[in-house]
Amino acid sequence: MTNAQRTCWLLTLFLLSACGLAYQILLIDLIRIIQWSHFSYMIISLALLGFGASGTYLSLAKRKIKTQASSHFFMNAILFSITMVGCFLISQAIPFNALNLIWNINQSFYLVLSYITLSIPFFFLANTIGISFFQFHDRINTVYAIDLMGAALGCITAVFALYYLLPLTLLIAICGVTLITTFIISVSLTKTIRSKIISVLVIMLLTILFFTPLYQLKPFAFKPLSITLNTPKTKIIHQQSNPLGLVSVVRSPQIPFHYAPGLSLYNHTNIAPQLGVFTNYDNQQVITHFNGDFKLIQYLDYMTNALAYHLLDQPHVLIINGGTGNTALLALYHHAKHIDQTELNPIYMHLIQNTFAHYSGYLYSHHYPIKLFNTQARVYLMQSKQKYNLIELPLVDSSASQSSSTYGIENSYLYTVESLQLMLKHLESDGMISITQWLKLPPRNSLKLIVTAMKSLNTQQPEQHLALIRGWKTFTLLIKKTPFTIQNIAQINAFCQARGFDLAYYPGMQKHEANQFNILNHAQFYHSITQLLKNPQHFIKNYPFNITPTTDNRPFFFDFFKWGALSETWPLRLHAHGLVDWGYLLNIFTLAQAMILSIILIVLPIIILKKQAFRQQQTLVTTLVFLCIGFAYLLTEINYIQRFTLFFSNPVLAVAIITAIFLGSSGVGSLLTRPLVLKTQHASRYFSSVIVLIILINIIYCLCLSSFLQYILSLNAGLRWLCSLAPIVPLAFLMGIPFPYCLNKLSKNNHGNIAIAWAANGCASVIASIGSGIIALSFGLNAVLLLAAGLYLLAYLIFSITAE
Amino acid sequence: MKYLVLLLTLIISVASAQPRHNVQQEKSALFSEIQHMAKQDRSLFGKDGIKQSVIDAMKKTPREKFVQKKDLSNAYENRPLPIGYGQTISQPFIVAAMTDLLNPQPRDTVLEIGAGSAYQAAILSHLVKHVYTLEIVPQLANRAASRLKSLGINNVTIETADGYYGWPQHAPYNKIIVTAAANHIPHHLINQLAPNGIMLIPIGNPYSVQHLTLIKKNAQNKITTQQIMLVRFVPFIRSEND
Repeated sequence: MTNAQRTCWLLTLFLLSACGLAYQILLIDLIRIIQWSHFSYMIISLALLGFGASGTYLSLAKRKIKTQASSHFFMNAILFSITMVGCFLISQAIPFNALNLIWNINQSFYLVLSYITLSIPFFFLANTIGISFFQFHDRINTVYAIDLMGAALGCITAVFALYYLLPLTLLIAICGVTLITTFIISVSLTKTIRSKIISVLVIMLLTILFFTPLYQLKPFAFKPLSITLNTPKTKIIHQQSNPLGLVSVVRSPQIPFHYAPGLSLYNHTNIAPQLGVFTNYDNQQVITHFNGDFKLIQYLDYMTNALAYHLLDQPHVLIINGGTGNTALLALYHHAKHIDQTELNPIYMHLIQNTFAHYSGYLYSHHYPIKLFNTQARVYLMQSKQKYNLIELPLVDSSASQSSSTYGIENSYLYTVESLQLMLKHLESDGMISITQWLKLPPRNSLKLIVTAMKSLNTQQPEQHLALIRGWKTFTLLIKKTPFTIQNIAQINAFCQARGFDLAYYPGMQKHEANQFNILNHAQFYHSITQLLKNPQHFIKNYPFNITPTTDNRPFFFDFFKWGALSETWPLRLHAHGLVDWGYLLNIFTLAQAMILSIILIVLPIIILKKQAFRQQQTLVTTLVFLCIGFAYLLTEINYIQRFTLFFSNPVLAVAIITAIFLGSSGVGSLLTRPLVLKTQHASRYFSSVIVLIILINIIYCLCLSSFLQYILSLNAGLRWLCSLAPIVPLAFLMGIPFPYCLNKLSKNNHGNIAIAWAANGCASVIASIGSGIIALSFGLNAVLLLAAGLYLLAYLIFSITAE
Repeated sequence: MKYLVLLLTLIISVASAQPRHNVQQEKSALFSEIQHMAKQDRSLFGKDGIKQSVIDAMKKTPREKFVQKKDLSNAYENRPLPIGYGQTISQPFIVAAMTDLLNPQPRDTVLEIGAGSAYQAAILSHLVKHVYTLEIVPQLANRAASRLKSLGINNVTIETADGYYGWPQHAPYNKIIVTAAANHIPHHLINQLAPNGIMLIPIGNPYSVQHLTLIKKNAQNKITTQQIMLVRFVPFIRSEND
């Protein structure tokens, strides 16, 4: 192979890896639109399944492949680009219905089918990388580094591209780039073949572009926007996308929107005209038509979240995640002196400031005392010195979360002890936090909020600072900095009486005051809250749902699952669906599915067809070492993605950026493995130091990463980003060394071990990518890092005792 | 190769040997199951479970006529089934429970918001004087209307309209049942509810009703709402007694 050919090959590999990761990031975004967010972690797992299966395939077919490496490389690159669009379109045709999973066992088959279908492109991509390992077996670390750095570039590119292109357009663009990339490698082929190939590629490219108008996103039929679009004359009138989601503005002239969740039955005024705003076909909000006449928005005062305004006079308000401004309208209705509003997604602000400014009555203009901050709430709170009378967390979570209990694994850093403590610091002496959420029966989120608030209040008598009211669909919790006064309590009573809302708890509340309007079998809320306040530890331990306080180490507010209660809830699942926390069980199911598929597609073929090899100690060692390394790497990476969701406030951004940093740094680590470790006289000693450093860093991070992340939130944007890299880059750099080092040593005399290592690593990664979240749910984020450190140690011990 | 042929033959024979669906057996198993589930919660349905009149009405209503062709064999399974346009035909137990809790009387006029397949309306038609039902999706409304006609059900009137405003022409209604997802209860519906009337709203997604909201208007037009869990959950009883 000439130098030019080699360069072409490696350049193609770099670009293919970039396209591969860009595709993975895009797929996460697409799955969030078509299905729900909790499937986004499945994408990482299925991508790795493709990689693992490729390792198995290569180990079985290596002789054939080695003889015609160039053409195999080329073919796999082509297949990668075709299947990228093809498999996505096929997966859309699979009638998987997550809501029906409990009723219909066939749905699990469809889930498996979707999982396998979407992993196919990654199989072909991984083949190109694996073939490159064969082709450049003396420079494994270089190939590995090029792959990782290409992948890092792909992550970053995908995130930026999502600001400018709609997700489906980006899919076609990535496919086009992949096809064009394959032109480069055709240079290394003979002239005749090359010209034929180029014409085929051109035809394929044109075909894909020609059919572009036919490609359509087919979101799940039961997502709120899909259902809304079934009503006559309802149309999407504006659509905009960024990595935070696909925002659709919907007009429904014949059957207008009437969005006022939990509105009091005592309200007799009409709802103002509205436009629907959906994010990822879910998370409904509205843009309210406002012409300056506050009488037309009087109904807003008949929702539970209006309570705080009846306790405060012309308050200075902070609205967190204010979205399209309905909460700001309520504050204006109550003559708020000034309103500060944070909103992470600039699209919502843009809609009200520009596209629908006239419709919304120029709500976000200088006419009204509203100041907008396009930032994450905790970043704003860390940086601002402003004090407020009211901090409001409106109802913004998906309505699906109240009904399907499928949001268990999602982390939310807004409802943690640390977050509430931060909010309390920003309150004036008479100030309060108002949190409104969907009402869940039996009580769960309300109790978890109370427990979290109690811990954040840090006072001897937290019960004096809490009040909770409920309607038939929503509840509002007030957390006051100072104890509620008699006057406050009278105001709460009057508010509830006038609107038919129930008092669930306030300091000094009597039993007979509970359960007056929205009657439950017994005063469940009052009983639970009073018992909880009396003896929190005992109550939390015995309650059938997980209501332990949410912290930054366990930021899973929507996880209510308890194994202990499963024996009682499972038999009732068919007529009391809401009792079972499906989000958690779905993850267990996905993990089981990943394990079974990775064993069938990765492990079994090698065991069956390479029985002889497994009798060799070196093959067994290779398998064990790379299983440990694969597990440890992915456990760590996913852990950082979860931690940095605090920083980025969005899983897609967190996945893209953290993956990019991890892969880029590991790529450099891998590249430098040869000069820094392998070629030195004391290679094994250096390698030991690398492992010790990885373990030490993980332990140190367990102790202080949360505080460090909290601290950097207070820095300005540039410094914040720079500091966010600081903890990851050195760790990821070091984590890039064990794989090429061990692979180099273990495959010195047996190239077959390359594929086995590739397969074992893939298999472990598939399982770890889902397992990481589940371990974090049960034991906290720190436990995952400690486990990863332990696995690096185990890999090192096996390797050094047997191989070195 | 021969193993592959053998395997295929085996698969085909197993598939073809599947027992034929016995509708009567499936029906009777379904109604036993519904009663069994209802009897688990005596506080809600009494010791006899769902009222016999409701069960009889359900027996008279062939569920297989209300499901999609591909789901014919599942018609008498106790689970919700998709009917297209992001909607489902509810789980038979939920239909039975809601009908029972609505306490239908022969003189009642009922308004249903969200006809869907019109299965609920068809059952009610055997128990009340007249059912007015509104469906927002025209295709579903048309299908439902022709289905009811073919079954000879004449006391159900279906129209494509926004249920938010109710159907004032035929008000007041003794019973209102809102089967479509509602983020709030419009005052129009409350106004159209007759004194001593009952309104029932299931809470949850199309595949999982978690609890029901029962709204009662007394003779003096005072409104109360009641949240009904469709199951007794033992740990709560325990925690109450603590």
